[in-house]
Amino acid sequence: MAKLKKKPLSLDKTKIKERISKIKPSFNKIKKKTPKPKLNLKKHGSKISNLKVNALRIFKQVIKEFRLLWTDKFNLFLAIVVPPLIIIMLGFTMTDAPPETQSIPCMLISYDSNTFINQNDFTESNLDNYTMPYVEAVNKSIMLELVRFYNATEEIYAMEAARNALLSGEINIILSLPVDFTELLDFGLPGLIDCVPDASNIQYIQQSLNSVYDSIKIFVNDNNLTPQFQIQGFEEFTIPEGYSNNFNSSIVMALSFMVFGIALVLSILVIVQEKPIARLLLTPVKRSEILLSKFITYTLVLVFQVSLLVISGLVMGLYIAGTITDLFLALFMIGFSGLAMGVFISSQSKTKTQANQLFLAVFLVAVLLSGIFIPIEGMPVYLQVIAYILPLSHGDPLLRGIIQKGQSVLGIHFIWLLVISIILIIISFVIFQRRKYEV
Amino acid sequence: MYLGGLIRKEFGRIRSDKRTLILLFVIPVILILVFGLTTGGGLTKFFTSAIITLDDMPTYDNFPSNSSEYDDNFISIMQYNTSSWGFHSYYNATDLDEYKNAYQTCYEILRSGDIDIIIVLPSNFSESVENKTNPVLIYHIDASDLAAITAIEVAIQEPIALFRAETDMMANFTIMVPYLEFDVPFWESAILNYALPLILPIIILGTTMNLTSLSIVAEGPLPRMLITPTAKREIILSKLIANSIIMLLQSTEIFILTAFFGLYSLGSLFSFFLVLIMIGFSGICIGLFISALSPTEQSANQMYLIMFIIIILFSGSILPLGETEGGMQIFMNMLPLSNAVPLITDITLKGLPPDLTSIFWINLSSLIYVTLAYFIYMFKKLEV
Repeated sequence: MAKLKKKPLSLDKTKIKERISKIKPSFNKIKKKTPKPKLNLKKHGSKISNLKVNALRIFKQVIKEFRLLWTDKFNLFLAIVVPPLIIIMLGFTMTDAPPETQSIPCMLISYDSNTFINQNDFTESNLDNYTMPYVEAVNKSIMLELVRFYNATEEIYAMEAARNALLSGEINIILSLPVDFTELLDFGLPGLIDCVPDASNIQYIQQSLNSVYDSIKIFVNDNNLTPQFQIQGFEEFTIPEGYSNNFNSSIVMALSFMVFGIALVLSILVIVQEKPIARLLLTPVKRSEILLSKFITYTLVLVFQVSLLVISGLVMGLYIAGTITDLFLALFMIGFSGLAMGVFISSQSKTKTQANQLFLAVFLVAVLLSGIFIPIEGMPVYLQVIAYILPLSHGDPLLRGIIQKGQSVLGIHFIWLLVISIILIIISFVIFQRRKYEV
Repeated sequence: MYLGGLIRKEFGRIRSDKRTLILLFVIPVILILVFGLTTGGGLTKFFTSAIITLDDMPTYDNFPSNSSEYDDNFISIMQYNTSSWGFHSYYNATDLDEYKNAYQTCYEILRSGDIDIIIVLPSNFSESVENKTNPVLIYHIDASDLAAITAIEVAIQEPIALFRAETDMMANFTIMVPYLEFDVPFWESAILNYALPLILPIIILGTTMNLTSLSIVAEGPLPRMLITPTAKREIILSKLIANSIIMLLQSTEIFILTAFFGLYSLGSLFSFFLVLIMIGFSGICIGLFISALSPTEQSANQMYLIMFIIIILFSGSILPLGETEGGMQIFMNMLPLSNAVPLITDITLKGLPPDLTSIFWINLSSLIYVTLAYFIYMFKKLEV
């Protein structure tokens, strides 16, 4: 019987080494996966060092962004130097006298000497006691400039002549004393003065009515017509003497426009224009770091720009009832919302032209719905909702509150701007993360 | 011969960017639609008030009757009967401490912007009404709103008139009765028609400036074209013609849309259309000037924006053109809005023919911008 011989174990070292080398990678993988409690400290340390590396990378990215900005000096000049120049220009032009002290050209027609027939007893009267006193009152009023006076009894085409003058722009208002003016006052009834203001320019209607009211005040006081209501006005949150009311009120609009608009323009091309982004993605730089570095860079530019605007405003005599810090923060927040909007436009645009056109659409809508041209309260509800979503409608009340009322920056408008900015930044990050690049 | 080809090339370039074209024609549609559907009386100043009455406080001197009857009438009128006033709250103060507290509360409401004015009825209010002497009304107004300051004294005449009628105080009362001339009739959209003279030029200028502000600076092959016999003036001219044709189409679209959405025009519609075209042409010339001057696309965008802001700020809406002098007046005349707004107002609301001086300034400024664009482009160094 043949015995089966046990095969002796072969101890060929080279084969063993080969086998180990085959097993080693998978063993290493297991080794990596197995947690090592003793190494916790090291892991923590590595996290810190990772953070340091990331921070350094972002820092270098920021420097790169600044270099990129520096290559276009003309653009930087426009963004940083021109806005303060506009403020200075406004400062020089807006120091004129307030509009209420400018007299309004008018014509006065009196029908008071015509025959008045009393409807109750059909008696006739030609009383004309108050025409000349009212003419004197108009002449006394610094808000009215009497171009011509007509007595309609003698000049029957007086109203036509006055209307032609109104149409041609020679005068802004026609004043007319009706046939029963003296009679009604004598009967203890209200004396009515008809006024026909040029209503084609909505800004001047109120000014015209104010000037007529001024002449009425003079008329009743001079002729001792009592009882009259004495109105005593006190203005709260007014601008002290020595400061220009016009400059202060126009700068609020100009500042929010400029800060928002320039931040928007500066950032609309940051992603869509930069060609090396695709190649950057081959390096360890993360997408979030690229976007973050852009935000840091443009935020620093914004800080510099806002500082210059505040300084130029103060130099030109801007009155601030609140604190300068609040004004700075408010301007920064308005600018930051523009920056967030710009980066959002850039991240979702495929080409530069698209970004430019989107900018135009967003800016035009934001400007027209900002409440400067049409009061937001006068818009229908759906439009009010859109207006309040857009950042520019919050700029004017926020700045006005700080500049003239001394309000704190931390209010509903600031919070809303912050919320809009955060939402836009998050969306931009998400879009940029998913953006496809061809290297 | 070259020019025809260049214009065709320009159209090809504009057509290749369909999104630009769509936006160019869609933005005005949206904006006019938005403003055309906007109705309501938002153009008149509407006041919201809080009232503090001191009428219950004792009075001495000439007022022995110590009445406090009429303050309730006045408050009731303010609350229910006025058309241009809103009512927030009222406070009855019977001594000075209560008045101080009430005033402090009202001051904070005024500061928050919820009200425009605090009205204080003094302690002798009812007595003055009873004795037919001059009653006093005290108000504290939010002066940060310039429109409110200018409108208050006239606006308060409405509740006063109603109060005088109710309390039989009509003797010696003199009041004005306004009849607005050249205003927008009540059946037309007041907001649209009052806003049109400013908004239409802004839309046209904004879109045409944007269309052309990148036309030179963003066109890559342009320097290489200079190797060919094409002259620089032909390039500028072809851009001017091509963009003007686009602008013409856009102006026609805006004209039809505004007419459809309730344009109220007493004057000639042809003049109105002509003015729109002139404004558009001015926008193109400014855009070309910006494009020729700017070294990069971003600079062109930046310049476009700054120019746009300057045009709006010095449009005459904030600082009227007539109130400026010398250099400032010339500067404002060189910006299209300062002449475009009165031109459109005169045509639509007054029915006047176009003012020749305004037309002269708009066209002169366009000519200057396009000439400057040509010279800048002539001397611009381009790398082929």
